Amino acid sequence: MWKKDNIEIELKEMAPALVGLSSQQVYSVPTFYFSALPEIVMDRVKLEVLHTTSSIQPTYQAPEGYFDNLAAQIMSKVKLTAVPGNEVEEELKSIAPALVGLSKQPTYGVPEGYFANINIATSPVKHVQVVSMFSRTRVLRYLAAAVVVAVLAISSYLYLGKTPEASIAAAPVVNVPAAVEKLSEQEISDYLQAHSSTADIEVNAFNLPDTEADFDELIKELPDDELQQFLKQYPLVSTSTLKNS
Amino acid sequence: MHQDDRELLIRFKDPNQKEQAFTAIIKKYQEKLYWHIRRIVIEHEDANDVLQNVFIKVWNALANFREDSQLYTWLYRIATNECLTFLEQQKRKATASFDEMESGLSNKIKADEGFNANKLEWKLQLAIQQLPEKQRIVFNLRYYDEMPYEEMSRVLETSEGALKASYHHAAKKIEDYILNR
Repeated sequence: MWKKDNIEIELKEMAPALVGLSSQQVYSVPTFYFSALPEIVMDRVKLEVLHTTSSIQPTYQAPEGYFDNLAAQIMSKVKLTAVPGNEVEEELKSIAPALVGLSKQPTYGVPEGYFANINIATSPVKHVQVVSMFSRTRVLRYLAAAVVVAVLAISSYLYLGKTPEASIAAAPVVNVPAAVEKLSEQEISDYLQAHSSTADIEVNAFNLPDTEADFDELIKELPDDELQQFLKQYPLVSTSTLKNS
Repeated sequence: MHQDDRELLIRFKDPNQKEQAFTAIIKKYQEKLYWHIRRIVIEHEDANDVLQNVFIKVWNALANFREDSQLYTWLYRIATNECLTFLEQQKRKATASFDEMESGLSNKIKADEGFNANKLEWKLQLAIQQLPEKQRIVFNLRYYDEMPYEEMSRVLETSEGALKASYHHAAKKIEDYILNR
């Protein structure tokens, strides 16, 4: 062991209050502790040695023959779960599984020595002027814009340039009364029969008086109630007008 | 290396004398190491556990011990490291702060069957527990074991100057504690 230093002088300078204190142990130790300790430690050492040197027996048992078939079992599982490297094959499996596994060897024959003697004439490469894609797309854009503008201008001219009067004037002129006069009674009756909505209209509506005298007679025949109702429906017709009539 | 230590190591390397040699080493150093450990971990049970672990480690590593240092220096280094590991484990178990750990050690001192608050020796123990761990070890090695700084430097792998400063601070703090509390 080391030769003990005399710490008293040093301690006197540093902390004189500690000089007089006893450096004896204040803690107690169980009786015979030190005499028993070497044996205790040696027992532990022997246990330690046993742990490290003894052949370690497994606590659990595996079924008999388990390890014989283990490799084959694992390999079959690996094959089942293996991710196929070919994307096309995987796709085909989902679309038409019957086609998977068919030989992809060429069935057609090639003349003997075809590929060995194949002669592809090569022409000198022409240096083509490179047109930048940027300017071409720019022209196309302008063209598309011009077409759109033209379509809008023409359609707006056609639509906005015409007034209703102009459109009426542009319509073909048909002389309806003359055309109707040409029609026979039978033809008109047939037309009304064919167009039921028109035929439903009361026949009286078409029996209008021919002259003004006949019209006066017609009014005289009308009952007062109907006349009152007519006035109610058409209030703009002044009473003076009616009196005159 | 001391002659008797060298002889013990030679005997240890002989398989026929290995156990006897190791028993001799235990007998030679057990008390010194025990008190070194006890002053750090306080309780006997803890000191006993740490000491036994130290000797188990020594048994496993002694075959590879390089004889360029003293055997006791090597033993003290193992013991010190084992103490620090033990305190670290205690801290983790307690999941408490450093202060709480320190007060835990003080409580262990007060719980000792021989504790007497009026005795200056016990007050000194309480004062030592106020020190940081490494300062406490330096103080113990110097004050109780009267270990030269040169040896201490080998044990703690710290420069002598740093150890002197550490011991100085520790002694001052302890004196202050004893005089003012």
